[in-house]
Amino acid sequence: MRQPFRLDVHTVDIEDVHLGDTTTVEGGTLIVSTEEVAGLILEDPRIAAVDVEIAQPGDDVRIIGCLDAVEPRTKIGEGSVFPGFLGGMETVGTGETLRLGGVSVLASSRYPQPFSGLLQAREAVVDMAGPTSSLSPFGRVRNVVLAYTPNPEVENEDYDDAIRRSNLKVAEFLASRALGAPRSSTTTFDFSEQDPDLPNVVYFYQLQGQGQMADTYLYGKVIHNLVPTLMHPNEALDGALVCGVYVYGCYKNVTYLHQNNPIIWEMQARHGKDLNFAGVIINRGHNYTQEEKERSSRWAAKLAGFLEADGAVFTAEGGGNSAIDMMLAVQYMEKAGIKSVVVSSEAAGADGYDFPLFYTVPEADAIVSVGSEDEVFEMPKVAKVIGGDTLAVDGLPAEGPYSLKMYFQFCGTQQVGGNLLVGREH
Amino acid sequence: MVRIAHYLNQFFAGIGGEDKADAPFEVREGAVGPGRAILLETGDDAEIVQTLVCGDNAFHAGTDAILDAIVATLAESKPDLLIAGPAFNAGRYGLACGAVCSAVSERLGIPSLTGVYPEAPAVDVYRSRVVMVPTGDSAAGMREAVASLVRVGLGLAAGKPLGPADEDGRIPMGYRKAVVTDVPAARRALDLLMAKLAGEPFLSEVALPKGAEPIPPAPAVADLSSAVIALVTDGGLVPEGNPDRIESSSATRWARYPVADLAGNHDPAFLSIHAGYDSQWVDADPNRLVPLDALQALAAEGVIGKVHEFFYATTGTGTTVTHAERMGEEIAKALISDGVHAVLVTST
Repeated sequence: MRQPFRLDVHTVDIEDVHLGDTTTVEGGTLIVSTEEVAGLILEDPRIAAVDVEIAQPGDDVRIIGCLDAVEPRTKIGEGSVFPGFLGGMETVGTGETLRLGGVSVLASSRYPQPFSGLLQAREAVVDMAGPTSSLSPFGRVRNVVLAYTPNPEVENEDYDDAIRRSNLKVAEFLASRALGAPRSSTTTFDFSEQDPDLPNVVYFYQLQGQGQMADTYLYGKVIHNLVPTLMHPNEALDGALVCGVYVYGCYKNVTYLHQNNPIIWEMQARHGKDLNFAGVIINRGHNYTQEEKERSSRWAAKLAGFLEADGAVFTAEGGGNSAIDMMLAVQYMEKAGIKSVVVSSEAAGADGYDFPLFYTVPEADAIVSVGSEDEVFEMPKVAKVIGGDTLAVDGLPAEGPYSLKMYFQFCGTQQVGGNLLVGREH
Repeated sequence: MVRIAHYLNQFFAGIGGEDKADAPFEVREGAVGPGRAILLETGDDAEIVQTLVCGDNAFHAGTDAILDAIVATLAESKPDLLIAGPAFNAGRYGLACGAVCSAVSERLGIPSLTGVYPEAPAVDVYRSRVVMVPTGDSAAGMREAVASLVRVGLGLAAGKPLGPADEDGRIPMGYRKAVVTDVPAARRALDLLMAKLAGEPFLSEVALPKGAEPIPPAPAVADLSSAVIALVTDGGLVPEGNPDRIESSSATRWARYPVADLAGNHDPAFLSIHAGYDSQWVDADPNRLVPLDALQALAAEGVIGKVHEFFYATTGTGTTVTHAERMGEEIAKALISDGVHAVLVTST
């Protein structure tokens, strides 16, 4: 990473969001015009209607049917955020980017056609108030919720594309309205200077590439045939990765968490002090055969060797199958002398007594927990539900109360560390 | 003021040592022996209303009756908390304390706890059901043991939920639960990595499993041509409508279905409800998952004796080890009782 690659991320912190006549950012308040936002969205005939709603921390509100969340961002000067979806093709991660801090554009929708089989959008919820608001990182964020209604004639795959593009477009639009606003802070992401006395640390960043409804997009393309690839951390932060993983609510990496990947932000904070951030290796999670898993995990270890890595942090997306991909990479890196730390969701059973990991290798001796997908939580009755009346779990009335597994909490135990839960032995 | 009942053996009640281990169960008013140390620790926050005393041999000779007597006594006196021991590394006494706490908390709902040495036999037997604080291995550690019992015990009596075992100062009960932290996972991960790179000690938040017990394979089938072979799958193949409501992930149920129904895959059609793979090719032809056609051909050729009349199905995705082991045992028992000689297990 000695090649100059500098990204300045300017933050405009948002302290309040409400609906209004014109979309603007003034004095830390984001005002969202339903008319303007809906106008942008309904340019696409695949979407029949949209409700624009605001859900902020402390509101007695539950959001259901959550799909992706995107942080409002725009490039300053040349370029576009989310190339492959917005604007022409280019790479990102350099120049200047403006973000609205503490805001997400959150898509909520059901699909026009019934699903069958594995690959379907499952339930994912966010509570904005009370103890259950800690079950999703988006309980702490000011959400501009776009509750979409599909054009009933459109196929699921097509509709999926429509709302993904729509969400990115709205996120870019909101940020563009803050170009003149005073900036709260600027963070520079530049890892070109490396201190030979510090250890080199790489980030093994595994992304789900399982099929429609469980795909990650890299510059607009799915990653099904990806071999482990070197990426600059700034690219991940700057819109190169977009989420299309809707199968599992709790341990997916939504676009917002790619843009704000806590591992990368932490590496940035420690670069030049504790470590040299030596690069990001992205890997496809959910390879189907053992041969493919061996191929990609050995390949990833090889790349880490090229980067002269001393240590590596590993995160995966999803559960069982993908855990094997990641754990094999841990094994081959450790065998090459690269020290590993894994951030992992658990699956300890409803009562928490089961062994919590899907798959382990003896080399994975340093694991950070983000909680268990199996734990059951009591969801209280709420005053308002955004995204429908009925939960896509046993047809429950969405307002509650009911018990709900972590599995259905939006990003509750996602594994880049966006939430603040930890599984502990009791 | 918290009303405490206290359980002691003959030694700590001052009756005598091993020669008095037959001392019968009795109830005394007020505090006895270590109970006084408990009151020193609680000060005016608590009182000991009763001390339940039983010799170690007497307890183990008549466990059920003594537990019934203890439950009856406490149902009457309704204490807020039961403290048993501390038993330190005493084998029989520790087991008695575990049994008493387990009975009182489960049958009366009265918060109960004991203190034992972490390697005492009672820990393995009762840790998942009984709140325990760690103590030293002998009564030399009485003061510290009592302080722990009181600290944790008063919390239980106040209805405070259990926290992480190390924060509470308890012996872990073996279950995991999420808590909210203010140190993000990314920071904890990099802290761990820095320690590991520096060669310093580090503590994983999830401990790796102890080596799983190896399961010896069954002996080879002596004569395949007379063997009854059953088909078993964790690929989630069920009749349309999923009459047994097998879960599509994290299964707790299994079922068996006649292979005669599967043979033509007609009414009801068989489909996979498995949530962990794309089942469209299985739905189109279930033989791709449960190879009945191939097995029947082998039976017709005389290579195998017979295809068992049922195939067995569950879903293998996100299934906990506990349920997987149980279902495996249940299916194996059913197969053995039906005279099946071998199974072909197909997974996904």
